[in-house]
Amino acid sequence: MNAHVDAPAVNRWRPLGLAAGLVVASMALTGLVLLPIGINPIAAYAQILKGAFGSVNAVTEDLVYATPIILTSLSVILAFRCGLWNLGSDGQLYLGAIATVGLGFNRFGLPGPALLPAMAVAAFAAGAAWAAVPAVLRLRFGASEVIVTIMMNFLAVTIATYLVGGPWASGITPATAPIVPEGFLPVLISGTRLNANFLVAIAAAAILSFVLRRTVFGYRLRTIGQNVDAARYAGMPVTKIRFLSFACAGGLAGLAGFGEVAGIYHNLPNGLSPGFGFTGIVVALLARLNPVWAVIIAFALAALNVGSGGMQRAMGIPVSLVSIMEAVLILLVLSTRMLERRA
Amino acid sequence: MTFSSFLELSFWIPLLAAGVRVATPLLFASLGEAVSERAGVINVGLEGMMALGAIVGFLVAYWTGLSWAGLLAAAAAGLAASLIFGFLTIFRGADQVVTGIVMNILLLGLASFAYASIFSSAHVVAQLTAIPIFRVPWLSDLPIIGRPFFAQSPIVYVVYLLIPVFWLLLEHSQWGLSVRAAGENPEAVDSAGINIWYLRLQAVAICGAMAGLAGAILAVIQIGAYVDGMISGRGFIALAIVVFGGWRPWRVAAAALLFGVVDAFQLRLQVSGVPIPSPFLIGMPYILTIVVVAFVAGRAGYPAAINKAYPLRHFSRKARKLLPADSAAVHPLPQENS
Repeated sequence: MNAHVDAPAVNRWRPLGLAAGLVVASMALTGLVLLPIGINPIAAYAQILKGAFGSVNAVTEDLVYATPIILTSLSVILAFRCGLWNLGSDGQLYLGAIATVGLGFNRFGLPGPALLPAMAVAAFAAGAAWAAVPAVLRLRFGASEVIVTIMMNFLAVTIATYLVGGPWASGITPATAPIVPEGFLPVLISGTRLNANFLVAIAAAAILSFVLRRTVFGYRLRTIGQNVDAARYAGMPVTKIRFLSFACAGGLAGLAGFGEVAGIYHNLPNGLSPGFGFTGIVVALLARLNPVWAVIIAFALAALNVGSGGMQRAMGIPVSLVSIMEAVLILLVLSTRMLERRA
Repeated sequence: MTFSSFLELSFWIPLLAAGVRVATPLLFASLGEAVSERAGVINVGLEGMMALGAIVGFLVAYWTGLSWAGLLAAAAAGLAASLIFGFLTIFRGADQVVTGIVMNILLLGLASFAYASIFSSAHVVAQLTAIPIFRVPWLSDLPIIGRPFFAQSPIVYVVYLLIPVFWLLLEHSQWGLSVRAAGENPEAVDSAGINIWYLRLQAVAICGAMAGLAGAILAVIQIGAYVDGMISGRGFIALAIVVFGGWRPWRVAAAALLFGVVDAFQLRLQVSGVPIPSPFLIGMPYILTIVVVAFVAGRAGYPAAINKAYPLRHFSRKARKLLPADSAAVHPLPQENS
């Protein structure tokens, strides 16, 4: 490229070129695990593409899968931006789902139109409450939120499994009894599973992006993430802001659980989350903690996951291939230092 | 089960025996992690390295019929994984927590992938033959402590040996002194002419091998099978044990035993059918971990240089330029004449 012309443009496009190179490299490296089981990686990847984009229904399924991932990645981003790790979005998602189902049976006799908003608020509050535990333990007692949030994930799954198998059992399927129809989220495109929670996720990304960039709260949050001591010295209420953002991070993950229950399953099944929380971390890291990029990358990874489901059905390749690919990609990114901790 | 049965030795002795059994893999992982953290590298990827050890150990033991070969292979696999982790965190300055979490995703995925693609057609769960327990002559006849501590699988006796070995290595050897200094004051190690990056890599490699072994002990010796998700948070529990044990091998061993006994206790309660909702029982080790991390460990201090990459001064100027700004600020390069 001509060095005299528009030098900054070179810098702007170089990361994208590098990113594309890393994606290809991670696909090649991941392909290595397919060789010993006698599968042509290119055929497998073609099958993923077909599964992800082969039909209109496949594309809406991508969006369905992207919905919870967008929310969990926003959850990770919000916490990370003020310098805290939220590895617990899976557990917070479960708590949101539990709260949604609990209200969704409508044993309290809420009027129809009020039920859905109440469920959403309850899910947000339950996720936030679940996140408040590690937040308090970290901010008050200095406990590592990495360990506590992971433990809270296991506890949340244990509680959900208990409810599904015991008090809320339907007796037929490994899931709770269904919620009342007034609690179903409207479907956006009839005949598909794409529901209104997708719009909630997009709106959440837009709001988070706005809050981080354009509000005093967001400014303080980012300052804390970049340098706690400087923020404290400037007189910012560090603990309060960190607590609020961690709790809201839990709330966002709780909304993901709300969408899965009210929009997709209409009950609480066993194994509700196939690792949405950890995919959310992957998305957050690849998006470099930018909420808008998180939406785009969540869609890409959702397509990868949906497509790999098709690959598993067609070729018998385990879907865990996808987590290998995602992890290899991030490790490559880490080794090139593209992903500095940009809080 | 009545309350009075809690007061009898016939309840406590088998419980302690089970606790020792459960604690063994936890202790392997924790001892390795203690070394790594003492050197200033926190390895959050323990969980994944244990899963890798479990699958590699299981496969090798299954194919060769030799459980010790499985253990060796698992140690080698854990070591290999930790070298990737060490390369990124020590030589590329990547954030240790980010890298550890991504290693978890990678290795858990790899383990699950390997098992599913190798045993997808088989409908029976592949099982290994159980390893008989070995009664230590004379010692196993001791009252009370004889049965829990000296009538166990041989690997348990290995861990008894490893505790003093790690203690000597970490707290009473030249190497251990350098490792501890690397975690507290890396500049001092560097100015003493020791290659701090290589030293840290050694510590991380020990951690990886121990984590691999821990996973293999679980899969090959204790369960005799590989199940997806079998590590179920033990890697993170081991992280808590290290903190609880104050990074000192003997205390870490005591902490691991406590966790083992609690886990064994809740298993017993589950089987006995006491009217306690299962989340409170299954969740007991997780709750204990949270309590420990919050109320014991919160006050204890991690090594000062944890999660801080040491700038690669001895490498090219280009490499130095690539270092994140903050790591250079935390560890300003020593002046030439100071």
